[in-house]
Amino acid sequence: MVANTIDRHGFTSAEILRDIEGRFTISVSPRARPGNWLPTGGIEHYVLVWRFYDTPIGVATRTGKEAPMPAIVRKACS
Amino acid sequence: MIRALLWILGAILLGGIVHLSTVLVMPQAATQDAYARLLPLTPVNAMVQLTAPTAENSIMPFMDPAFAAAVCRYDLSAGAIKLNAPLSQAYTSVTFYTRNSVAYYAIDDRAAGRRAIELDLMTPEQHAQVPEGEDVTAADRLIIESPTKTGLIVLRALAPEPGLMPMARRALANAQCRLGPVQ
Repeated sequence: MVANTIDRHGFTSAEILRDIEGRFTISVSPRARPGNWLPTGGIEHYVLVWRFYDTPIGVATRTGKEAPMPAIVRKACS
Repeated sequence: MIRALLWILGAILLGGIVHLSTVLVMPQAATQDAYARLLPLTPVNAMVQLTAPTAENSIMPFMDPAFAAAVCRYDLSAGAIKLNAPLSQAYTSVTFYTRNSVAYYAIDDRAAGRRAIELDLMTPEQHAQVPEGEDVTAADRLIIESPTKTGLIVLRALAPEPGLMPMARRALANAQCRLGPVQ
């Protein structure tokens, strides 16, 4: 877990902000961003974990069409 | 030439054997496994809530901050364990681990289908001594066999948002894990 001033360490499916299609975007950055902001507290190396609980997705599921995995995009500092 | 190749082949084989056996022995040889970490924090055969992980301090690596967790470190040598875990309003799960941190059984609120998860945990020997027919008549009675005498039961209750963490913790506070006669 990463120390940060707003004590935000993750999002659950119930609290995350989504767009009209039900998709969501999380900004992982040291500075505040609109929407779902996961603060890094300024550290350089971190691990992002996506956990599934009570889900039909399992080892038997072929990843791909059934369960689209999120994309991680690197953006420049602004 | 052949001789050199044979030496290389032998070295690769030996290296492979050492590598594989090290990887396989690692879980047993690890001194700081989950059970060892919880040993000083938890009494035996009682349910204890784990302190929430913070950035500086976390009992286990990669704990989920959205979950409240409680642990029962059990020892079945004195008898079977009765577990009673009332469900919280959100997702709740109960997972059983052996002494070597192998998860051998798990049940969640949806699978339990009731207001509480109630089950008996015992060794295969103790299960064999349960009078015949009784666990058949009580269809809703759940008996779990533990492969090891000692191990961990971990209860996890989800707080869908940070404000609901007290609710999740309250639900876990009512969970009980104790030695109980199998009747």
